[in-house]
Amino acid sequence: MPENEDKKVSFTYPEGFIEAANSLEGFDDEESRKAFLAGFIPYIVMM
Amino acid sequence: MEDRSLFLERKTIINNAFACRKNTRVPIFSNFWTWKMLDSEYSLRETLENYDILFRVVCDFQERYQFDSLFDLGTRNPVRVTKALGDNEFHKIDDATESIYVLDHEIMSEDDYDLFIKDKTEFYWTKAFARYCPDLTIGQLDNAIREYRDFQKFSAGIAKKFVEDYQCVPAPINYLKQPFEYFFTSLRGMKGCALDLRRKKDKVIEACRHIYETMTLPLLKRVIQQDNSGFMCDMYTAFLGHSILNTKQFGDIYWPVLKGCMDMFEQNGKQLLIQSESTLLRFADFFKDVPVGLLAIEIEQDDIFEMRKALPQICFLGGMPTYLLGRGTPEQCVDYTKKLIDGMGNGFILSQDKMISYRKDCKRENLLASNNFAREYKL
Repeated sequence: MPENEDKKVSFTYPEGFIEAANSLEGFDDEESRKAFLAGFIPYIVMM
Repeated sequence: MEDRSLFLERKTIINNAFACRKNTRVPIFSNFWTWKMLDSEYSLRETLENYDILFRVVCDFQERYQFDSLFDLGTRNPVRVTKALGDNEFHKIDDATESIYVLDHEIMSEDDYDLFIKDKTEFYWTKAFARYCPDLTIGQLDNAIREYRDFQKFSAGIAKKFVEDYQCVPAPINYLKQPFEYFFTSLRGMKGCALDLRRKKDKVIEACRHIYETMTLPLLKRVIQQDNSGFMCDMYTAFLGHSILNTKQFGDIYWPVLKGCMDMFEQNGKQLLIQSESTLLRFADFFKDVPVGLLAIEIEQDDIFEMRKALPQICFLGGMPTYLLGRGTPEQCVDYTKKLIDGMGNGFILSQDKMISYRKDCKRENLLASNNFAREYKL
């Protein structure tokens, strides 16, 4: 799990978005984290 | 060498139905959703929260009823993913009623259309996602993504099982989400959309056009390059929001997207499946010039025989009423199955008249009787 796992997500943009993306594990670089998160959110809120 | 004759037979009869050609037997298509889980020894919650159980339940369902193709392989409700994001009021498993309910909700305000058009990533992050899970922690987000990956593994595994072992023809993998559905089913909700259609219809149309140009068209361009011959057809789309539109609104908001898609598909020999909830007959005139072989429509609340009369060139899926599957006898179900197959003629795929989700929607012996009859009934 990420080190800051208990920290509340900040829904500011782009700062909060980038911070959340950079906390995710299992990605090679920042761009792939951001791209994944940008696709994941519409998917999940549309379920 | 592996025997793929069942798959080929199924694919052939589905192709024949799409093309409204004479068939050897009627294809049988599953519109069963959470009922599959209620038809097992496990509770709905146990099944949805345990992928091993879910896998077994979905397999048991197919082994029992032997559908040629199915909409859902237990992948409609990834509750472990949404649950990982923290409790919200949007999706709940109700143990008492054995159902999943989704509350009508707004995670987009009527003032957010401009931001949606300007920057979708910013919109989803600062507005939609913030409203969806306002108390989210970094750890929950990370865990939800792990759950999402587990869910993808389950989805890939069950899809492989159905093609390789059961030789079912998979439902189309490409999904066209109608632009209006972004707002109706997910972002603005039914009430919000109904109000927007009266207060700011031009903004709704502008947003729908934006989605069409930035998301729909690129998808269509990809699909026309693909070989989807291993699927039931090239793409499917679901109609839900049309249920609150009048004919003029349908023509202004819904139809241009569908027409654009169908024109592109016609030029490239592709096929589309529409899953239509609610009723569609009142919009039948829009479809009267659609060529044979382009389109199949799964209908729910319409009288399927009326639809056949109105649109003889279109393949229809549906027909088997839940009032018979749930409360009739096996004999009544067989009689009605025969009436459907005989009455619909070419261009028909036997299915059910709604998304079967509740325990009393169907009895096991009735579905067995209907499917067994249809499988043996030669045309």
